[in-house]
Amino acid sequence: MRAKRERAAVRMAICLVWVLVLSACASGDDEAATTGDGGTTDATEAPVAEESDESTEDPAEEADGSQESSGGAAPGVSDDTITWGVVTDVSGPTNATQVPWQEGLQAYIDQVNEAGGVHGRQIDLVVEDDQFDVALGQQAVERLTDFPVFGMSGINNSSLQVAVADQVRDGDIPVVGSISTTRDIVAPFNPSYFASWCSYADMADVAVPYMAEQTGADAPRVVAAALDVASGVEWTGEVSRVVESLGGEVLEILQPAGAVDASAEAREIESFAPDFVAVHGSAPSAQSLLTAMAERGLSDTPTIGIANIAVASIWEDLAGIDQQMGENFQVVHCYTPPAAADADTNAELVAAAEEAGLTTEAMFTGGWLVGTVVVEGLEAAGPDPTREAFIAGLEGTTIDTGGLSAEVAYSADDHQAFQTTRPYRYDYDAGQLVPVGEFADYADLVTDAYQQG
Amino acid sequence: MAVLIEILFTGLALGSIYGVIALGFVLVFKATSVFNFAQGAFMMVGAYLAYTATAVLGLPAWVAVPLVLGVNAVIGAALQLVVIRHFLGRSLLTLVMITIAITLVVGPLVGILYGPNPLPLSIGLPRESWLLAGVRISSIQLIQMAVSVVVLGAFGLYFNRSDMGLKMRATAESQEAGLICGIDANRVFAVAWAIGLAMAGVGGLLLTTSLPVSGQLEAVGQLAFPAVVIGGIRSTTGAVIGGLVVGVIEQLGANYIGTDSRFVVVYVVLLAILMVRPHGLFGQPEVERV
Repeated sequence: MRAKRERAAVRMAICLVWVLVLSACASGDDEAATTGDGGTTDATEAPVAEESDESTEDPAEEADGSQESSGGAAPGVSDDTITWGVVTDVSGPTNATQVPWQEGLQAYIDQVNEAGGVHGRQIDLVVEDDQFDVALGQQAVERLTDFPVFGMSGINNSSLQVAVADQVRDGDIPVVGSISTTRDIVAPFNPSYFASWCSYADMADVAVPYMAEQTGADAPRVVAAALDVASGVEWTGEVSRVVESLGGEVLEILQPAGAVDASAEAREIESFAPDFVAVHGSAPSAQSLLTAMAERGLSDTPTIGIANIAVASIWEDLAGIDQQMGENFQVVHCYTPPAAADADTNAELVAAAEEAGLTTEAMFTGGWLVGTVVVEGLEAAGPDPTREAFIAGLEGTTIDTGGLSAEVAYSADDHQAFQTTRPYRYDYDAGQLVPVGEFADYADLVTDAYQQG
Repeated sequence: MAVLIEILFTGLALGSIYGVIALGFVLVFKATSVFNFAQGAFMMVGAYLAYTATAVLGLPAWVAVPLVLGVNAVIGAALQLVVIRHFLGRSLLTLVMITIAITLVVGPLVGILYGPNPLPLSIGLPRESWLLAGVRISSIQLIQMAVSVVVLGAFGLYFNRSDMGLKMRATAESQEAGLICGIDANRVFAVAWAIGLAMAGVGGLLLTTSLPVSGQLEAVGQLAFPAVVIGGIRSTTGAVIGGLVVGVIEQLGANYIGTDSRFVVVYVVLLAILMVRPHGLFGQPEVERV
């Protein structure tokens, strides 16, 4: 009996370990990143509406009554409400970045509702938690489609985004904003999707030339270190593309998800003697790598990371290990954290972030900006909004985000925005990320690689 | 040669963490026959408690660390007395589901209490590294190994020399015989859970020397399972050796085959060992009377 139990336990342990390793691999994939606040067509302009409306957890519970359209109105539109869906990780391994994004979006919509809504209608956010599970995410998208909602935001995990890319492209529901932009969702041109995040190609376009200039290396030797997941492979590929265009040399290192120790990776970096290291991953994987580098005496190696790992705890932990490593570690980001935003221009964002206790979270800004785009589209769609009018309205829209991101401009043949990133370093005295220059300083570096093929 | 020595040293340091986590796991299984899938979750809890003690309450490390381990131990004993006790004797699957359920409760609860962002933790450990004859050694690696040796040594003494240790061994051998001898099995089980979860706390603290405090620690902790299986699921010595074996193999694989193949190598070795010794390196095959 005991032996049987023991054998069963061993089998279970082996199965579980495999499941954990596989899920760890999946969970390392694209932690969506953040963003900034701001929004409004003009950041100095107050949100349009004023009545807040809490998000709904279960579309089915709301299905009766409130969503009935007034005669001939568009799906998700009633006399007093416009229902907007959100698919995001409320829970799960990447919620660290997605929850602040969701809170930023909610905060902006709340302000608009408090100010009276859009054309007299309140915006009701219906949030679905995909728990970083592709199947759950697909179900959530289908549920919101059937509900129906007028449009959607989120779909933040790259694997989910790839899974529903064709559905979004073939459908007529406008989707605004994810904190992930995969090639599949934007190329070939997707008429229903409005991107609101910098892709890995966009990040590499700025990170590599910037670091090459900083290190004085015309043809840089670069280590592209990434978590061993699909988005990590994409990152190393994009870094290689840019480095090779500069005539440099790349060493690609893949770091397994869930690994505790990165000393082997640090040893490879030391052997290659790069001009700089370009890091992809989650906050724990990046910290593990930077810690191992510091312990190998590589603190003076310049390092730049993707926006997704712009998490203050990394720099704070590095301060206790080797602050020089933290001072040499920068990130590129397409949003401005509330704490680094112009407080006069972006007073509403800063106040909302302070209230949420998320002033250092660029992701909060990202959610806020997505809210800005959504509201801008709804306003443009007029008092009797249709999905077609919403899309057409956004296609002619230019939004000055008050320095929270590059200027947002969608057109009929280009639905990508927020592509320009800029570097950030961590100011240990202020305890926050500070930008290096303006977004406009880096705009010319963006090659729009996904659209160029 | 220096590189090989350095890799082995790194592997032993990493393996000693796995060993501590695995030992807590084995202890609970050996004493109570409960396959505790919540071990990783309580490792994470230990790390979060340490954050609370140091960053929130501002306690010095010498107070915070024992406090954290104590709290983890109390949680372990309480779990046994309040939850697990009622399910002992049920099928293995039932008990496994209970511990998985505990994990599913603890993870989100920690998320609600601490939020989704990774948190920094500093307990003031010295961060130095030295190059000795071409071999780079860091103070953190030495601390990881030293802590593991002390913890394992203390456990060995307790398990082999103390009255409760004797009762635990007796109960692990045969619960019925233990009861006949007047051993309070519930008390023994509670102590086993307390020690098991305290070990998880030690593992969590050691992991935070290179990782931030976050929910991902839970999954990392589960990587000690290969150590348990390789060493033998009922062998405390095996858990420690298994941990060291896994740490060394992982490092050899990462350095000589490829950084992305470290876990693959571990599982290949695990399968090979199980084919030759199905009960693990130190497990004892048991004969069943039919």
